[in-house]
Amino acid sequence: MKFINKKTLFLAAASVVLSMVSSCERDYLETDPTDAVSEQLASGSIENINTIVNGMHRNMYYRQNGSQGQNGATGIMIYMDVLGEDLVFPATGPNWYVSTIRWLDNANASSGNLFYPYDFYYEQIRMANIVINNTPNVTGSQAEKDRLMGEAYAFRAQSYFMLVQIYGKRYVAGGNNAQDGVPLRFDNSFDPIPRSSVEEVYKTINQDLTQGLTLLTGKARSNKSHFNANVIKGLMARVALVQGNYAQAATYANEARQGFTLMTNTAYKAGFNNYTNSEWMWGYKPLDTTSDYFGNFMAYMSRNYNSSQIRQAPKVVNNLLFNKFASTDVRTQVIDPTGKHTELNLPSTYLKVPYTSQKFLSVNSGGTVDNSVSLGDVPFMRAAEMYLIEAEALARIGKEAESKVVFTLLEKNRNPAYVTTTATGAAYITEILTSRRLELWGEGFRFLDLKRLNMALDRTGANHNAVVTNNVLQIPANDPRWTWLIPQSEIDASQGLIKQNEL
Amino acid sequence: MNVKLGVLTAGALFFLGSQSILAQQKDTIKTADVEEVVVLGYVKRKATEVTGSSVQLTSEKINTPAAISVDQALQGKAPGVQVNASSGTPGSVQDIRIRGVGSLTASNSPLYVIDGIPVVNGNTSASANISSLSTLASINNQDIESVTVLKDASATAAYGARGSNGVIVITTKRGKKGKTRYNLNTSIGFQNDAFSKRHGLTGAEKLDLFKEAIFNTYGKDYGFTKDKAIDFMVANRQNVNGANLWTGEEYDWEGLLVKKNALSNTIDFNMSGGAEKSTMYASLGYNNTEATVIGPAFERLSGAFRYTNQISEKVTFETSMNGSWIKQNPILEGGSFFSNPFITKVLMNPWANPYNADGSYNISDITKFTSIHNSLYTLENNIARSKLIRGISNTKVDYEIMKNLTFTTRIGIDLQLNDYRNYANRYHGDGAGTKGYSERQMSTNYNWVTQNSLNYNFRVGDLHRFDLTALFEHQRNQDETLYGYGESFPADGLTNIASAGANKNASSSFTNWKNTSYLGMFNYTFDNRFVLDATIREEGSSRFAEGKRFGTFWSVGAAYNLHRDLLANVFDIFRIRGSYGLTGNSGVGLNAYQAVLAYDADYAGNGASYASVFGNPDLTWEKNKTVDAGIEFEALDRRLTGSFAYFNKYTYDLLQNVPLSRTSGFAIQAQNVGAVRNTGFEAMLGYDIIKMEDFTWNISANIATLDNKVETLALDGNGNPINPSSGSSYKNTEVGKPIGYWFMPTWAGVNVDTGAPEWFINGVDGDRTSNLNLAQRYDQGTSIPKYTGGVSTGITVKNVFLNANLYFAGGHKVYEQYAQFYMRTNSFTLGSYNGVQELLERWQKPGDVTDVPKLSLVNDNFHATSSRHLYDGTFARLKDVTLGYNVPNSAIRVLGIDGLALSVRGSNLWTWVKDKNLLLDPETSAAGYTTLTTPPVKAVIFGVNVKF
Repeated sequence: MKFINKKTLFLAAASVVLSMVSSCERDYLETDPTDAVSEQLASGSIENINTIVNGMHRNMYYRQNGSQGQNGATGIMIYMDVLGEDLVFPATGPNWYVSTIRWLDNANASSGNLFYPYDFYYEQIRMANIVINNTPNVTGSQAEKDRLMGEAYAFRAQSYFMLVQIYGKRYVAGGNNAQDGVPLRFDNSFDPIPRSSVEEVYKTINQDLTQGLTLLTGKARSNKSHFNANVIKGLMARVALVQGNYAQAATYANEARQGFTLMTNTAYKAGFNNYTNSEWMWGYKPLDTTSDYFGNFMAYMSRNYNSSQIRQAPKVVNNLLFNKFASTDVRTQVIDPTGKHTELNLPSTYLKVPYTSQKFLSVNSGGTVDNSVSLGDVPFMRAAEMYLIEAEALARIGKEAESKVVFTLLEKNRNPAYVTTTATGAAYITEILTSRRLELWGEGFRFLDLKRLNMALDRTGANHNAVVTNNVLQIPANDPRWTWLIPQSEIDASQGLIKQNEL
Repeated sequence: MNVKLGVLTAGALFFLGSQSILAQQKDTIKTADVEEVVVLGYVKRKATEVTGSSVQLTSEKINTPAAISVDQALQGKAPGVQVNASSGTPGSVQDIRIRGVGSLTASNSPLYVIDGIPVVNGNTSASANISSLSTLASINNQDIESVTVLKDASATAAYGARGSNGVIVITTKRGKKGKTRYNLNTSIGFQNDAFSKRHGLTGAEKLDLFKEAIFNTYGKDYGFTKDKAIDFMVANRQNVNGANLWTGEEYDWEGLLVKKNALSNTIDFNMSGGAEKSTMYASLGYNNTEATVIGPAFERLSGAFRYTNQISEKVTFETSMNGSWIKQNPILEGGSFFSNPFITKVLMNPWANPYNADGSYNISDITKFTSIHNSLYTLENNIARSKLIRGISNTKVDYEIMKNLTFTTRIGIDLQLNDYRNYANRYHGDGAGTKGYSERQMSTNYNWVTQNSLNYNFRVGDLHRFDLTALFEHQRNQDETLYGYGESFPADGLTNIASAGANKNASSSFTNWKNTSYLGMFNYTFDNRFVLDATIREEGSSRFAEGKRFGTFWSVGAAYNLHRDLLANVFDIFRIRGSYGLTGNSGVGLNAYQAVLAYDADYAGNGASYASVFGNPDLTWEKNKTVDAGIEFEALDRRLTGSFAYFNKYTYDLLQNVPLSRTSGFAIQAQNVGAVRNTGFEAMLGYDIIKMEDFTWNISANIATLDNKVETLALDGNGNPINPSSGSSYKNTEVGKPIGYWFMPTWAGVNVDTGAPEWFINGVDGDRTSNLNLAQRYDQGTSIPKYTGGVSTGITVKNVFLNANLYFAGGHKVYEQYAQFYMRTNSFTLGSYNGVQELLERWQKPGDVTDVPKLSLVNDNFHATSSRHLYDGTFARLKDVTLGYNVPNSAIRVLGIDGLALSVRGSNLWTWVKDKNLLLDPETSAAGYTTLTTPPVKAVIFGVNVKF
């Protein structure tokens, strides 16, 4: 008995050892993260690819680099206006975007603000590439696969479009555009690659948009944050405008806006915070639960959110621009020449300066104006822009009469007292551009428009604060700073393949 | 027994002692036959059979007064082990560095092994912003039999991929055969800050300096006198932070926040005994320690039970359970938070009255004076506490298959539950903006280890002795966290999330890792003369990609006990030993090898994923090759003991974040590239000066040197080394220099004629500038002590004994990071906050020779990073002193007990700092910054030890 006991014990122990050893196969050490999923797994099913596409949309309003001023693509929108002449800072406040308004970021290769768009758009491109390259291999309905691929193509095109406009020299219509654009990457590799020419980048953008249009045509979308055929046509119109393909631009812009009616004047004054607005074509809706608080677009651009940024440095409209419009124009009615905004009942702690804009107002989840939240939907494309593109493009190819019909539709909506202009030629085009400046104020167009049109920046004579701008009031059209430097970290990591822009 | 206890209770509350005190007398009677046995983790070896470098400290050596975790007791006692307190808040983590700093980005902390089981160690607190809580604080020092520090490859190769930073092996107490013995220790102690000489300005001093700064800035241009300075500012609508409202009454914030004679109280009881075939040890312990600032406190209840039983001739069973409960009230000391009481202590505006006229705390009017919170109020009305419950179970069965062949199986389970709760009141402080908030985080860490091993030792002839061990080990670790948060509390007294009215949210997380190893150990002894030692460990870790998981670690060592042959006349022991081997450091992030997408985003209520880690399938552990050689000796009838060791530790394949082209969508990828070398000497010498029956006196000293040098750094795309310290305005890392050496402009003093601060333009000497941006940064020395050591002595005269241990460290520099707040000479310090006494020495008129520039409201950069605030960190400290009295046997017999000892012990009673400008405690975190955390304490502790 005693012997058996011992033997049994030994055998039991030995079997424990053996089972340990034998179960120690390679999968024994397999652990997977539970807050993240490996890229391989994540691109293996249509559901997972759907979350990647969702992730790209989410990223459009997600804090980047841990900086509250770098919220997705909405921070880049702010940059694009801050670099222009129409968005005025009355004070330095807590210093957000002050180095941008001084044109220091685009000339400083080590600046985090210079790095931000480069970083952000290539992050989007990586995810788009994963979707484009893996979706054909997963099982799922063709319609769903087409939608996902179509959105990914749209994202990739939009990302390269922004990158090449920011980091490449301007596209010269009729030129060979061999100047350095940005590197083009179509897979998830990481070896450094050189910059492609601006022409090649635009070729890619157009190919992607064409692909996206084919895939998304006829597809419904769940809400306005997703792409559909109209939005892609809108992007095509923007691209054609930059490339000087005005006939195409006019056609695309016209097709794009079909189904989107211009908003009422009442809606115009509601604070630009609701993407169900009839003329919004593409926009994002930060929710209560996904709020970035001080990082949200409204935390910088609204008139009412109770942050030190808005209390101390509210956003002001260039007074020269304001004065070009009649008081019956609803677009001037969201600007208060006294800065008091009496109907908003702003507390005394808010700085009151003339010409502050209440185009953007923070609302709570119930849709009421609320100073304690920085929420509000963010517009990325509106039908008004399409009217303006169409009007400008038609005017530039000599179809001035047709152009005025389109332009009047918009102007009459904004200003019921509007009478079709008698201006012609360059003067007429300037009127369109002036309307564009006020219509799209705060929506991220001015720097890109100036660069597209090869125009100088001129802040002189307006209500700009010399201390805030550090006396940067004029930038000639040929200034190298219109082309942002490539981030130094990218140059350092590129093994000499990426050439820096001149300064 | 009850009667005896009753008699003792009164005295018990007053004194502390320890079993060590009695043990000590026995220890002094050494006999040549008793050979020390060293616990090396998986195995034990006789000291003369060891080839590696290790230090074993027995219970009496680690019984440092006021030490809550055993690592605090290692300071100065184990050469080559640097112990830095991250904070003096009771229960805080100690930064331990064994033989220097080897890793650039991965962990530099040693592996901890408790009773043969590798455990998870480190900070278990819920956030880096609050006081840390060491998992080791859950182990009662009184339950520890010995601590062995394994330093070289021969000793640590058995721990393979985790041995690179050294290993600390903790062995807990077990029962001894024979009559059951009871042991009761109680102590009561009083603590104060050990070394804290930074004191704020009084209200009057601050007002005077503020006026002077205003006058210096505007007086001349606007034609007013200094006494009208405040009026001038008020008239011009400038913020004067209540200078015009101050009543003139002095408010001593420092005095209100400091807790004088903070109490520490311990009661430990244990019993130990055994019959022929079984032994048992059981203990209960209680520790209650206050901090020297109001707020944080530490409380621990612990119990241990160990039982061994010889089931049969061949089978032995051993099991132990350790349970502990800790409560710590953490404070926000991890940074410059407005609620950090140490910020309040130094930076609070002394014009602000802590109280209202009715005696309640001032929380409204105070905002006219300062943005710092009234910590007196927040500490009383907020809740912050961590509770750690830890249970360790360790069970082992030995089966002697045949003579000298033993099979052992062991299972260890370590469960840690940490419950953190934080409530910030809705009226004042961090919670005011959200009408109060409450958060709670519960995390569990589950560590499971199983080991199976075979040990065979045999002799070939009389002279050849072999000892072979084969071991299989598997370890799993799981970590789970649940977190909840809510804001907006409708009424007082409601502090739980259930009552929150807004922004409630919850989250949970799970991480795990696994480890599987095969270990072979070989030990050969020839006639007790030669020792040959070899270890090989095949280790696999889930932290790496498939195909890269397993690695082989090894060591070889040899020793020659010369006293057996050549020097037998001179030495009792004289041995030379050496070893070489390869170990690893797998302290890298989980799943860092694979490209992953994160899913914590939410897109309009739908799941959304985004790229999170680029991954590197080639990722592997950092490696370490160490050469170690040394001698050990005992002579003069064992009265003289000594050792000497040299080590050369080369760590390579160090992880560095190498920049990627951003066009890949990622900025960095972790790669194994860098290399660092640590070299040094370690020496120890001890002598029993007097060795008589009634009078003994011994003294011993140890010293270790350390030379740290970066040898390789990863290169960026253009072939330039990647600086792991890039972006730091304090440090720099480059090949040929120590990791993170101080790199900043050199302070040149204050210009005698203008009162402007000046720095050397070239960073060394010659031309000076008042524009900091024009001054070059320069190598100002290392933050890693070049030498550390200790001196200890013990005297016994009849029944009275005195022990003392001194610790010293030097050759390094420490930086006073908070000088940027309290040593500014502008309105930041003189208006909004408060400065320190040194500002009184400011420059006032041409000819003044001083180190503090002219006051001005304009920013002068005086406070900015430069060698101005960098001090020689050399210091020495009397770590502990014990004066005790063993009541003579004749007296205790009357009481019917076996032993009684009374003692008075002191901790950190004396501190010497070389640099007179260093006014904060010289013990800093391993990175070398003095911070505004709870400083180490100076304590006097009275104790009594009873055996019966």
